[in-house]
Amino acid sequence: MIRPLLEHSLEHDPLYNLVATALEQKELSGLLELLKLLCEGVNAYGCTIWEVAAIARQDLRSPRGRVFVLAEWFREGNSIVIHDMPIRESVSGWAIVHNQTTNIPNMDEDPRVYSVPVLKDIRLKSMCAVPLRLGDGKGSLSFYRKDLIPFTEDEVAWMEKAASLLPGLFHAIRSRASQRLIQWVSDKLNDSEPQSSDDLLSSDEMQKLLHEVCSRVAGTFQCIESSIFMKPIAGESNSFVLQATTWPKWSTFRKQVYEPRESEGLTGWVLEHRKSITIFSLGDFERDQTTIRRLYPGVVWRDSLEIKKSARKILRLKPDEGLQPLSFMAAPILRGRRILGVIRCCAARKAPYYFAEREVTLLELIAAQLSRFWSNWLIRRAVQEENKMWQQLVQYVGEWNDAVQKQVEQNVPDEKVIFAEVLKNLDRFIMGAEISDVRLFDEETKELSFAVTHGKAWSEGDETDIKARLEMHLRVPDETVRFPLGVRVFQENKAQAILSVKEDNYESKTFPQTRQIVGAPISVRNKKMGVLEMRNPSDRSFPQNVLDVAGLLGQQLGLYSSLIDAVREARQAEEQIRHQDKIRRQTAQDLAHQLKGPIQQVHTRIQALVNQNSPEEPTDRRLLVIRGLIRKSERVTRSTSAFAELAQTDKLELKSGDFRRLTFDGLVKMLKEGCADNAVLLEAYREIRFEVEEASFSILRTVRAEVVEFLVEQAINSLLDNAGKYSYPESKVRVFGGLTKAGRFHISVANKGYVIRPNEVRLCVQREWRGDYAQLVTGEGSGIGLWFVDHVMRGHGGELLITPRNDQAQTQVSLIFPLKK
Amino acid sequence: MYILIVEDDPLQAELMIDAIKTDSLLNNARIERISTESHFRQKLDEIVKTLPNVITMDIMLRWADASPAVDAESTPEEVREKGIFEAGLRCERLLASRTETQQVPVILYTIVSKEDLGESLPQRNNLLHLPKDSDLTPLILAIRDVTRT
Repeated sequence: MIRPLLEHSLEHDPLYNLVATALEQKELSGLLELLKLLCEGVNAYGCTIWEVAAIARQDLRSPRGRVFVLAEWFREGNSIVIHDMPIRESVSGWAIVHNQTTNIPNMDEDPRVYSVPVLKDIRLKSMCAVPLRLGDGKGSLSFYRKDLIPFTEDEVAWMEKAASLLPGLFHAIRSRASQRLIQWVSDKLNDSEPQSSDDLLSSDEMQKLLHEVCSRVAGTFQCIESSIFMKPIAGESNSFVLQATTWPKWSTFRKQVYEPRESEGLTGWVLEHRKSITIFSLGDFERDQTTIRRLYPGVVWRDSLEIKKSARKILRLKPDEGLQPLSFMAAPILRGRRILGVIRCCAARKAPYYFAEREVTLLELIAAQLSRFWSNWLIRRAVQEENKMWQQLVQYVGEWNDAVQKQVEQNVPDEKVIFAEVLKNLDRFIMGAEISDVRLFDEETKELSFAVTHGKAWSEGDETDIKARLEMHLRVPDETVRFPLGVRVFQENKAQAILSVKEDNYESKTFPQTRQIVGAPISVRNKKMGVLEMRNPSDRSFPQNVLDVAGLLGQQLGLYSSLIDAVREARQAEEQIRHQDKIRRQTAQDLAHQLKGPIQQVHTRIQALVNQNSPEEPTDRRLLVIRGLIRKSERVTRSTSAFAELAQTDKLELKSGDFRRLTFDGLVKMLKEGCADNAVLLEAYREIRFEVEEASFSILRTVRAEVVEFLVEQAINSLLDNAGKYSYPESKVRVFGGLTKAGRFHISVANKGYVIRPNEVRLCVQREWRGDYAQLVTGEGSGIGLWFVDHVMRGHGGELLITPRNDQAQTQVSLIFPLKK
Repeated sequence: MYILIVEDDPLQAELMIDAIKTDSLLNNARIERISTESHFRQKLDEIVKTLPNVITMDIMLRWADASPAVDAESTPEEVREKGIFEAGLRCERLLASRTETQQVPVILYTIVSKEDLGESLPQRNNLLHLPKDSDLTPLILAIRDVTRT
């Protein structure tokens, strides 16, 4: 126990003890230890440090001037019930204003004594107030006794000595507490720095760390609330979100997100102006707002915590107990000029109840440390996310390549399957890419149309909405446009983004819930195929490198599409070659068959004729058959030669010297013999007749047509051969001619039977083409007959005309020759 | 003796029929001719019942004669795909698929060589491949041989 100071030696000197005690204190609460020693040194019941409110510092005599309790200590666990008094109505205030120690032997008799009792159940009798300086402010150290025993002169002298030491001691305690806090924060943050990329704090761990910092800060400053707000990601969002707080319940935080605007309140002001703020007492904000606004222009207080009500509850104050001062300070967390967040403190639980300049400076130092730590964490996290994203992308590319391989092995590979596979996995490594699509460009319509879509959003809404979205074709005009994004991306062949879709009238219509959209061209070198679009409806922004990734994906899709195209084309070419090869082989086989048969039969028949076999068969018929077979052989042989020649040149070159005038007699003979030759080769049971309408050719007596006879004979026999094959049983093949309306000469063969389809007319003059019907009913047939006839007619400057007549079940094939003048 | 000739070329069939009729051992044979694959299929049940002593089979046969009844849709798919070039082989398979006709000798009388047929040429005891020739003697001898005449 400390004995009155004047009776003891130095080592028991109370002042010495005071200093020693102060130096031992590590926390601000150590101030109370000093006050306790001071009281015991002069046998006081209690003492209080009164501080002048910041508002009144300039003018102590201001009628609005008040003194507030900075710290107090009373015996028997008592505590002061008032927290402020008017300067001009209190002894402590009087001592401050007059800068004079004021000893009141009997408080009941001094009119300067504040009318409201300081303690609840105890009436104080005597006091002594000693003025002191507290940093920039002024105050008094006031001692009280509950007995009517005035303080002696020696005691007052001692008090004055103590009062002169106290600011320094308080400063020392504050400094020590500050240093400990700074050191702790520094150590804590350094210990949390990752040794490797795997050690990087997760978001939860970071919040936990910040909570520890808040707790330590709140513990040092003895305040109810210490909170940290940060911008969660380095992106477009301008919101600062509550990360950690010592406020008892997060749920009572009405405002957990701040925008950097004055109108948001004190915290918003700090974020906007990037400056610290300190408010002496929030409880007097309205009263002091003029001065406050002079110091902090534009500031408003939103009372997001309903601080008075909440503090009373937290401190468990009775209704008649006065609320202690609610001091507030906040410091911006800056990285250069960039605002990253804010750290704030409010409502000291215990004395000292005010945040001094020193505390604000300390908070700013802590903010600086947090700034460095948070920035590094964001950068590392972004790098880690980016690395993770690239790793995942590489892995997915491997899977996509497998899918491409599978498609390549299909008979008909489909790149849409690959696109769907890519879109399916997009949002696993590009956060937010929940709605995506691939559009492909149509060269003919000049439109970008959907090939594949992914995301539930495509199927949301009613049928009309879905249809409208999916049928939205984007026209690609010749000039460069600004909107839609997909068109611009395609035109400029460059990945682009709209990071705030709500400001874009066009893009917001497709999916109103979209916040961001990124588009990338699907291309290979300079060949553009389409676009990849990704839409982000979530609160979290696309990663920073989304354009790089999108560009890469577009190229990858372009490669896949190119590959599938190439495989498809190769397959088609292969199929075509195989088909052509098959046709060629069949043609060769058929020609050989057509040739061999007649040759062998001719031989047998001549032999039979010589040996007089089958005497019942008429000789004429046998000779006709032989002639028919020989002419067929000739025809096939010439066709084969022409096939070989025309396969090289694709044009029949006829020498002018080979042309002769076509005469009536010559033509009629040719036609009759041709009819007879073909008739004899047909199945007798089909009863097909051939008839030459001689009179129709009489025009030849008056007009001149020049032809290469053997070729025309070949052509006519080809038509007669076809007519015979395609005629229905018991029908007639008509052969007739004359002049066309255009004044050209024609020889026509018309038969009743299968009518060639209009779409087959063009095809049947193509080399090796055989229609389905022809293949069924003719057996042998190389498909080069009409092709050859077509070339013969072109060589003559004429044409082959095929006229189907469905109404008559008839096909008419005409050889049309130009006439010579 | 019943000889069935499956041949779509009427002149070739004529020569074969003449040769058979003028052969001293075969001249009393009943000869029937089928000229198209569709006709063969229609007559298959009858063939199974009547069981020819020998069948000569051309390999390249047309499906049918031109008539309104013929259309591609109602033609069997294998016919549309493979065409006339294996018609005779298809007919031969139909014969081999029926127990009754498995033992009927078949002479593949065709221009298509054994080499060209390759693995398509069925391997059966009662099947003989004979190339068409201007001299019909080998055909007659083959018929005599398989019918043990």
